Amino acid sequence: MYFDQNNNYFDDYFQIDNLNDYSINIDEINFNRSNQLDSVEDGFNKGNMFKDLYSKYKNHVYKLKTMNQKDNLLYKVQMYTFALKDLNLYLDTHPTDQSALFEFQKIRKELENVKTKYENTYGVLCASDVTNDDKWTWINNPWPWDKGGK
Amino acid sequence: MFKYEKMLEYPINVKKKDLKMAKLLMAQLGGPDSELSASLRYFVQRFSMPDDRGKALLSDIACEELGHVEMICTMINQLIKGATIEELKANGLDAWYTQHNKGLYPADANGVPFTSAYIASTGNPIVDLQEDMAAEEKARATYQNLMDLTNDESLLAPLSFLRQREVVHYTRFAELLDYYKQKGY
Repeated sequence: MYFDQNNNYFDDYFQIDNLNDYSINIDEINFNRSNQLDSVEDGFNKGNMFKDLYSKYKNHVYKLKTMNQKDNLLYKVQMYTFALKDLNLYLDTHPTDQSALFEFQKIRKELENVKTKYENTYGVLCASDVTNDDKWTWINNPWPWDKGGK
Repeated sequence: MFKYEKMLEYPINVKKKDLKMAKLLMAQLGGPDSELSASLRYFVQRFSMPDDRGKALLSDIACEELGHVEMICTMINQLIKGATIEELKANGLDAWYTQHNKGLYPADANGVPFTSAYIASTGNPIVDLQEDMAAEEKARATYQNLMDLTNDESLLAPLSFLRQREVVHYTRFAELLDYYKQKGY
């Protein structure tokens, strides 16, 4: 069950680049962002959707690059899930911010789209969403810690 | 009620075995300012929050912190995969192997088991929120220390992400504290 140190199965997952040599290989998110908000992708890579709030340490900013279609779709699901979560926390303390409410709904719809795409091809992320009635597919999917968060 | 989503908050794909870092990362699984401390702290404190904003914020951050526990576990699990007995001995993990084999267990980087003594819950929202802000800052400092101790980018990326979350959580707690002070709680 243990990972063989000599095989390189991790290598087909993704690479990490410093944000300085930045190359975008997923669709640019073209929403009408407020001054405060970073793009969904940059926000995800930094761990912070709010430009003014961002605090850097030792120039460690990373950009994840996915290497195949499955990882790319899951990366997008994780990215929009994160953006929604960060907006969620902001709205908890700013419940009447209209532009944040608008962005939340925009991101929520994007998340719904990418999640449907991912789940239709690679299996559901929640057990309660399993629709097969002939076999129990929930247990089949790789668990998140086994293959780099898939 | 909780629902599990079969994915990490941020992808983790550790490139190489590193038993020393596995041991050090235990700090954020079962140490005083660990993700586990954070999750439990906010989870119990939310019952003392006086209004809807606080109940929501502490619930939402507690859930995210549990996701961070999963990320730390994933890093440690991937870092020790394939380790031999000799490697475990050479990196000070023989005592861990004796008690846990290669299993995960909430203890700190020195092997001290997790305890609820790491968290407070005073029933006073002003006091609790100030503890929460301090906790986020202590966790941020711990992540910086961990980032100083490795050059592996596949570890630095998730550590940098987790460090940044402490910054955001700190700010949200500070906003709530200001609001509660204005409201006279």
